[in-house]
Amino acid sequence: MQRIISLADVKSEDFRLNAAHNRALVAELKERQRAARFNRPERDLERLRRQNKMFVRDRVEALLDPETPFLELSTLAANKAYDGEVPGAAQVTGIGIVAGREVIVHADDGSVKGGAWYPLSVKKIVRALDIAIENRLPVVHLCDCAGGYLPLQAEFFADRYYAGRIFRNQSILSKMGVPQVAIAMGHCTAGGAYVPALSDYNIIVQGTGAIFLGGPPVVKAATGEIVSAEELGGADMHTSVSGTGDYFASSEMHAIAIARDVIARLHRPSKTSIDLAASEPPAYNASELYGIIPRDARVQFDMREIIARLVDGSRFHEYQPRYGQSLVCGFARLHGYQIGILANNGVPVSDSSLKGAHFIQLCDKNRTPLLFLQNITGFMVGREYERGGITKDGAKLIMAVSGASVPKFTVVCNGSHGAGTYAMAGRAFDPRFMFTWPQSQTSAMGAVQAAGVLTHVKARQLARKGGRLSERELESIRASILEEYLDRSSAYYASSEIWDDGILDPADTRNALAIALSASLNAPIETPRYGVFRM
Amino acid sequence: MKHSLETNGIEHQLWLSRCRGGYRLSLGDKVITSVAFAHEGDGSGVLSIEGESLPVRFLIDRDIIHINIGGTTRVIRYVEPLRARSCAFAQTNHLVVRAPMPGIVVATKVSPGQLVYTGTPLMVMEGMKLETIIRSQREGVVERIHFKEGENFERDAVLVSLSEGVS
Repeated sequence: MQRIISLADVKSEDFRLNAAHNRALVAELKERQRAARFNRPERDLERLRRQNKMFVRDRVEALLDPETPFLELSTLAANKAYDGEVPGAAQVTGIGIVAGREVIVHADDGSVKGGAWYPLSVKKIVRALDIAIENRLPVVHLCDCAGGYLPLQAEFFADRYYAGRIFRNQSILSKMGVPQVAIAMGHCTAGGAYVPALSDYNIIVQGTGAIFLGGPPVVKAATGEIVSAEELGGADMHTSVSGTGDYFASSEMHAIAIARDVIARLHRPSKTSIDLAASEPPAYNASELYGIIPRDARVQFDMREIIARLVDGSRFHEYQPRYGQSLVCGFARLHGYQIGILANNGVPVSDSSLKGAHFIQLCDKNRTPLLFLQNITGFMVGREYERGGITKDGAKLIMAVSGASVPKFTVVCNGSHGAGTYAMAGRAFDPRFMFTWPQSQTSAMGAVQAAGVLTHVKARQLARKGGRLSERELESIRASILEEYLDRSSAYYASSEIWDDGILDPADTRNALAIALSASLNAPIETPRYGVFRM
Repeated sequence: MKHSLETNGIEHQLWLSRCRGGYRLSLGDKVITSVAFAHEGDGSGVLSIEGESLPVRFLIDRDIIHINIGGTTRVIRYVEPLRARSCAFAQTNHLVVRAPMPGIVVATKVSPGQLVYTGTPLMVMEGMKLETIIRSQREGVVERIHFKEGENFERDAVLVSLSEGVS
């Protein structure tokens, strides 16, 4: 396979300015992640100590095999919701190695609002369990949830993908033969009680862990019965009387040791085998990505420069290099795994859509996972393009993306707008994992255009009521619309709402994708099968 | 969770991870980048630590390894996490031994004042057509035996009371 020859001038002023800009963005990302992981009010940490409970990060660390990678997901979930008071949506999720086995970890964070489930907490847990289902990954639940945050119950209780989905997904995992191990480290109350109950194995920590549908205050209010938490649903009772709990643990560390012992003896299905070679680092340093990603998101750049810093040996076998050039397609290796890459290099038109649809089917036939690198403004518009059938050609690409049965992975490198978001395996198209780079923007329409349209609509509404706006008023309305629009298209908003699985430092992307790829091979790949392509 | 090994009464937390040409050893806060072992069979081999090779002889007896390096023998014990982490378990064991089912005392095996250990037979009972040995679940001193031979008792009846051993 040919090595990509980078044309980037690492000594240029432009490169240096980009690098400074992007390094600052990454520093900000790392600081926000650190704060979401560790910044807690002292009284909450004090309460944990008083209750003799470990901090969620220490629990996860003790659970994982030392010195193995942990791909944390959606660290910045809820960063723009609930006034920023629920870091990480009060949940820690990720893919890690326990007793040599790839698992999904789901841990309630008792240091945030007592581990109460907010609407985005539920979304994050459901997403983690969806990942477990799609990739057949065993799950370890570290339960410490006081129950749902009642004032917001209308936003997390009854709908299809609300809290009920957690228990539905747990049941489906069990049906599929994908094991789950839960540790009740705090009170698992109401819905939370079903998390350990629906796990194939569970462990209860003496003293702090308990499982009950209604806690002591609820029981007292309902029936007048006065009973302690330990008596009502503690470790001793559940492991010796009710059979709701399997293993009695005398401390959190004891419980974690039992969980590791359970996971060590789980059946290990063999992974799906795909084309694999010895791994090789890229010929160009990943840190050069900072100088290549333009500081102004509207500036076009060659995606081959990105590919050269992601894949093994910077080697890329480009498919149809002379046709449909606004979509770069080709084969490469990532940590040894063969992958097919589709990367935007300009505005997609008919020929690039046809090329993409064809390439996806090639990869699907020879069991090659797909990586989508998004930098897309939306499809070309205009009479000439419509007459050329751009809508039906875009539909072909969407049909191919939806139908492909090999694992798909998506990285939003810069822009992700309009139907392009869909055609490049956006969230709705079930990529196994989806990551975002810090500067990227995701929205139905570009911000400036959208602000123009919205300002125009507002002026028209006022005009109908006989009002008139001065140029200055119009400009201030446009500015405020633009600001809100930009905020809501930002990577931080996308990650807050869990439209992705997390924001990545571009230089970490290669490793994150390798973990995701490896995890995805726990599930078999189905035979390729597609719907009707509009010819 | 790291492995725990004890030598000379001191517990060490450590982890081995594979790396080029052997293993990386994390020992407490220290990292030793290159550790390897070539087994030569029959309890001997060559241990390499950061390029230095040492012939060793060893004997493994369940969780205990006796290892001789350069004429000095050390005894290292693997601290089984499930057992070690449940140390608080002893506190949950009650000082009373209860009947697992209704039955009759066939024989008493201990007398008041006697020191007993985990697993020491205290009493033989018969119930549900079975003869069952009631054993101590902890260390302690027999304080009182509540039923004589031939006496009946119900499930959960206290059969033997213990007191904390003299320490």
